[in-house]
Amino acid sequence: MHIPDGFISPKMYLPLYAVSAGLWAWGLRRMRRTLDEKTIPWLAVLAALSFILMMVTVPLPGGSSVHATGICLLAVIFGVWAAFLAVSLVLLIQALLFGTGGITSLPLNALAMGLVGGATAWSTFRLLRRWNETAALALAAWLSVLVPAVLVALALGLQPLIASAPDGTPLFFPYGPRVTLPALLIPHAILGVGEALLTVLVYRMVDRLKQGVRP
Amino acid sequence: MKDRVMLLAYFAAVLLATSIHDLRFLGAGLATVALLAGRRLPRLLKRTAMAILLFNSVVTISYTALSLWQGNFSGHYVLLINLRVFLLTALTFLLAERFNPFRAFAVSRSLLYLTTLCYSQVLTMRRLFGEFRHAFRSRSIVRPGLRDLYRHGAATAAFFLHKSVSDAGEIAQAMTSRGFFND
Amino acid sequence: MIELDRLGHDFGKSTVLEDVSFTISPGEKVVLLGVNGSGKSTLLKILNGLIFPTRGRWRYKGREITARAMKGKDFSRSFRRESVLLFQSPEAMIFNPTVFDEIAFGPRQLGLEDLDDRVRHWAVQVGVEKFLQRPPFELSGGEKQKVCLAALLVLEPELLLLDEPTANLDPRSTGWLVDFLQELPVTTLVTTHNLSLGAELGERTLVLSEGHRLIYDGRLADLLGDREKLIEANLVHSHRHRHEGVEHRHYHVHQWK
Repeated sequence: MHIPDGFISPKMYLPLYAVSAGLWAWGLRRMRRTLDEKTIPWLAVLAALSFILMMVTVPLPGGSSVHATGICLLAVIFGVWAAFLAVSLVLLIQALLFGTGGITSLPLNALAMGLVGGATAWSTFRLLRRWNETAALALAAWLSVLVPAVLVALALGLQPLIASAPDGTPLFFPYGPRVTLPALLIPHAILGVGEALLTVLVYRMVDRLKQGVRP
Repeated sequence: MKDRVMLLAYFAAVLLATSIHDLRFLGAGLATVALLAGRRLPRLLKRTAMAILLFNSVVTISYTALSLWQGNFSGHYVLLINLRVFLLTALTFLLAERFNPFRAFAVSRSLLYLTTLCYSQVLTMRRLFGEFRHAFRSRSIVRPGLRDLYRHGAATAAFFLHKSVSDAGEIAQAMTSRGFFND
Repeated sequence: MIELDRLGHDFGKSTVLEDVSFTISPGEKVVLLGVNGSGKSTLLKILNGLIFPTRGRWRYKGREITARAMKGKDFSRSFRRESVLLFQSPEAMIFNPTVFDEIAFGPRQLGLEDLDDRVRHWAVQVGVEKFLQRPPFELSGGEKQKVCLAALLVLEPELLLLDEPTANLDPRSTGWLVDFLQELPVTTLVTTHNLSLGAELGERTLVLSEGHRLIYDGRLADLLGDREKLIEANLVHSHRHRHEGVEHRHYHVHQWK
C-alpha cells in the first residue's frame, strides 16, 4: 500500500489531515489520562516497534514476500489509540526523515491502517475471543489488512470523481472504484492470510503481554 | 528557525504542486529542485526514479493501454501525473537530506522529545533487527522453507514486542530520574 | 584457510575497516582485539559471507568470497556448514520453539541422520541438556548463548567465529567458555575488547586500531610489552593511583572480568 505523493488530490488529503489532527489530539488526551507522564516514552517506543514490525517479512509461497503491518498485534496488546498514534508517528518519521511513504498519503494511511485497521482488529478479537482465541486473532489480523485496503481502494477510486479536468481527463489517480477495489482487495485478501498466520505465531510467544499492556 | 521555514516552504510547495495542473508550472518546480540540489542532482534523480518506478509504470502503462482502447487517451495526463509524482518525491528526498526535523519540531518540548526519542529508538531497533536478519542468513545452510521463515519472523516480532515493553518502562524511569517531569 | 588481502569496508561515508591483511591456517586459535567500534564485528560478518568488502579481497580455502560466489547453491551450502558465526547477542540467533529444535535446525537442513544423538551430544557438551524441551526464549542470556554455541557446533564446523562471546557472561560462565574453546579442535577467531581475556582465548593476537587498521599480528606476550601499540589501540588506560599516600599515574589494564 505504498502510494507515492501526487495521486491524491488536496480535496481529499486536506480534509483527511483535519480529521486526523483532531483524532491525534483526542487519542493523545486519552493516552495521557492513563499514562500521564509516561505517554511520551511509551508512544516513542511503540512507534519504533511499529516501524520494526513493518520490516518483518511475511513469506509467501513461491519465494516472494511482503512486509507485515503489525497493526493487529499493536491494537490487541496496546489498544487502538496507542496503535493509531504509533502508526501515525512512524508514517511522519518515514515521510520526513527517510523520505519514504509520502506526506500527502500520510493521513489516509494513518486513518485507514492505524485507526480503522486497529479498531477492526481490536473489536473482532474482543468479540470472538471467547469462542476461539486463535480463530478470533487470525480473523482480526486478516481484517486489519483487508479493511484498510478497501478504504484505500475507495479513496483512490474517488480521485477521478472529485478531481478531473473539465474535459473529463483525470488529474490524479486515473481509475474509479470498479478498478481499484478488485486490484487492491484480491492481493490483500491473500496477504492477509500471511499476516494472520504471523500474528497468531507471535501472539503465542508473548504470553506475558496477553492480558493487554496498560502501562 | 531555518528548519521551520524549510518545513513550511515544503508544505506550501506540496500544496501548490497538487493544486496547479499546468505542465509548465510543474516543470519550473522541477527545475528549481534541480538548482537547489546542486552537485547532488544525479543521485537525487536516480533515487527518485527508483522510488516511483514501480507504481508509476503500472499506472502509466495500464492507463495508456486502457485509454487507447477506449479512445480517450490524454498525453497531457501521462505527462502531468509522472511529472507531479516525480517533483513531489524529489522534493521530499531533498527535504529529508537537508533539514533537521528536530529543530523544526522544537516548537514544543514534548513534540521535540517525542520525535527525538522515537527516531533514536528506530535507529537502535533497526540496527538490532539487522542482526536478526544476518543471523538467520548465517544459519541457513540451504534456502529456508516457509515454516522456518514464519518461525523466524514471529520470533523476531515477539522479541521486539518484549523489548519495547521493557524499554518504555526504563526510559520513563530514566526521564523521571533526570527530572524531566518536574516543571 | 583464510587469506585477507588489503581488505577495506565502508558504511555509507564512514570507513569501518582499512587495509586489513592477514592469514589464518587450519587449527589456529586467534584473538582479535579492538575497542568497540574498531570494526571487529564487521570483519567477522565479512568472514562469514554476510557482507562483502568494499575494497580488497579475501579467500576461504583458496576461493575468493564474493556476493556472486555466495549465490552458488553448492558452495554456499558447504561454506555455511563449515564456517559459523556466534553473534554478539544470542537473541538474534534464536527462533525455534524448543532448545532441541534450535540445535537441530542446522542438521535438519542437511538431512543428517541420528539427529537425536547429535543434538543431545552437543547439548551435554555445553550443559543445556536439561532445557531441551523448553523454549529457548525463556533462558538466561548465558544459557541462550550456550544453546547458540551448541546449534553451531552440531554442524561440526571447521571455522568458528565468535563475536565478543564473553560480553554478556558472568565470571563463572566466562571461565567455562575459555576452557571449552581451548579444548575444541576447531579453527577459531574470537573478538574481544578485553585485553586480559585475550591471553586466555588464543595464542596469536590481531589488534584493530581505532583507525580501523590492523596494527598488530603476533604473540600476545610480545604485545603486552609494546606500550605504544596498546595505547594506540586504546586497550590500556591510565588514571591516578593512590598507594599509602603516594599518588602516581601509569598505563595499565584491570582484571575486571
